[in-house]
Amino acid sequence: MSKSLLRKLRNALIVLFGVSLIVFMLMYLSGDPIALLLPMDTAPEVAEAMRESLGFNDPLYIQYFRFLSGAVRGDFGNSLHHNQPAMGLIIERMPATIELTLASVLIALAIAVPLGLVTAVFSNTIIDYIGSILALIGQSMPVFWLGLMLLYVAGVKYRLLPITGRGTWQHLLLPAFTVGAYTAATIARMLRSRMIEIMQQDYIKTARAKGVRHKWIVLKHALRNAVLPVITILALQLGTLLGGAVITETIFAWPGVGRFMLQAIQNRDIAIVQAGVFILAVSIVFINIFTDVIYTVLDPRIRYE
Amino acid sequence: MRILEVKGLKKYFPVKIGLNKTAYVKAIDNIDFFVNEKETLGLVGESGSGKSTTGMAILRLLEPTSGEILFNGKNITKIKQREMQKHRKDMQIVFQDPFASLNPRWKIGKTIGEALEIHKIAKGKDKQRRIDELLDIVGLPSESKNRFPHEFSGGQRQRIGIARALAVNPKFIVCDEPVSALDVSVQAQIINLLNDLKEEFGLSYLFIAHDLGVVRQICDRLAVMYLGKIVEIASTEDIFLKPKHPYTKALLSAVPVADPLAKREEIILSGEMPNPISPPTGCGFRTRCHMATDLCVDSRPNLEQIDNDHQVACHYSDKIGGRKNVEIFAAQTT
Repeated sequence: MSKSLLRKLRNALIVLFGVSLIVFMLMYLSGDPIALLLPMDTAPEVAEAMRESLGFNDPLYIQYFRFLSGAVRGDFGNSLHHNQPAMGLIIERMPATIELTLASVLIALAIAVPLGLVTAVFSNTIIDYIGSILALIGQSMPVFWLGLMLLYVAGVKYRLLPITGRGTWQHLLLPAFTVGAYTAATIARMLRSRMIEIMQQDYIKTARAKGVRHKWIVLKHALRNAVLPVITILALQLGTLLGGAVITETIFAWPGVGRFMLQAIQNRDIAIVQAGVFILAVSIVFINIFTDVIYTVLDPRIRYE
Repeated sequence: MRILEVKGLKKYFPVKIGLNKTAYVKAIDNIDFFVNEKETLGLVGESGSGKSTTGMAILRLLEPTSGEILFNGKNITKIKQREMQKHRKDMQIVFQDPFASLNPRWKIGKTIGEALEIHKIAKGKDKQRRIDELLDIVGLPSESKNRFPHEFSGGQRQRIGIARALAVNPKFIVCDEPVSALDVSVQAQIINLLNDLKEEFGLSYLFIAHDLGVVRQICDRLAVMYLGKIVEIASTEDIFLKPKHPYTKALLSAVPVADPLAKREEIILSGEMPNPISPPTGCGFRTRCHMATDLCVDSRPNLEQIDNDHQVACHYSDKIGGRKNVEIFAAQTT
């Protein structure tokens, strides 16, 4: 166990090294980083002085090592726009994003598990058809459209909930539902098909032969076995969401990392983009490792040797 | 005393063909048989002949379309599932695939112990003691209870499956091809175990198999199924020595014999079993039978008594015989 965990951590380092290369290259995306940082009509001498002072005349590998040594210390330089350390600005906005992520995952589970179970148990009945169509709609609806519709109906037309900003739990509801709807639909559909498959298994027949009540067969025997792909989807979703739900955060003016990153991109604030992408990569890598560990706990057949 | 009696049992599966039409697969089509106390009845036939469906329908793991199932003289065909739970204590099943029939996330002890709690047989320390005892009966160490199914070999898993079935002290066990998935050497161990358990606990089995060599070693009587019907039913000895149905003869001729010099009549069945959605008219076996005549096309032979406890469904059963399978019988017995 610990040996495989060490191997995973080693692999994670390799991945992060690759990520650091890519993040570093973001600077050169448009060819000349100075052109990216300065207005078009800057005098050439000023640009040259800037290039020299920021170290862009050094060989590329020296620039990279300078970047890397900063990055491992969490230093991505100052934001040009805010004139503060980029990392600090990102970290400041993390709680909002984490809050939105967790809330959306909770909402997704609260919808998906009952929906998946009910559609599986009543498969090929009218209940299943309605449930499955709902799930399909949830999966195929674009996030921006769902967000705008919720905003309009719940926020503007009936004035049930606040539509922008962060603060109370009411503020959280609309954006969390918007983000969670897709996850909920995906999990519900996955759970339904896994449950139907599992209910055909011999060990379910065994349980029935033992005299286990149907309710307990579904909950004790089938659900636990169907839960693994759900964990997979959740983990993937969690990793992505921690980088900020860009569209949703923008629609609801949620002060999280996603919206902040979008603004940074619009302002050509490269340091913030670099710090943000790096944080996103780190969180995805570690959530993946964590998921692998959860797998071994949930399914005794999985052992990483 | 008959522990199980099945009368006119049918199980039809609806199949949608086209938008509005429904056809029926007659998986079991009007079968009658019984199992005596402390007896093993073998149910043999090709894949798709309806053997497993029969086993499942008897235990009400599938709802029969019509017919009657009498267990210990009580009609259990129509009772509610809730009431059926009580009878599950007396009738159990061992499945073909010992791995698939154990919940992969549950330790063996939990799987075996679950039925003990449901039927309020034992709990707490008593339950643990009973689990140890059951594992011992099937020849597994008691530490096994703390391990997961994937940690065992095929033969061991089938032992676990048997221990699980035995947990509730059943009187009757449906063995649904319990050794088909196992190596030949392991098959023999499991067959011996089943035979020992039968003696020790006075069990009755319905033993479903497609391998006549295997049923030979465990069954008192045999029922041969084809296309959802029983075509012949007799004592194991009679089936082997005096088969009266051409299908039974064909099955027997396919049993391998250890003696390479033994001369036997070989009947090789051509083709597949007909589609059970549209079975042939008259006798179901006529499409593959070398003896079929117009009579077989026009009229369906009923299962008729031809000898003491020997029933066969063939118009020409009196013309079959003479050819004896003594060597098969002898070879398998030794």
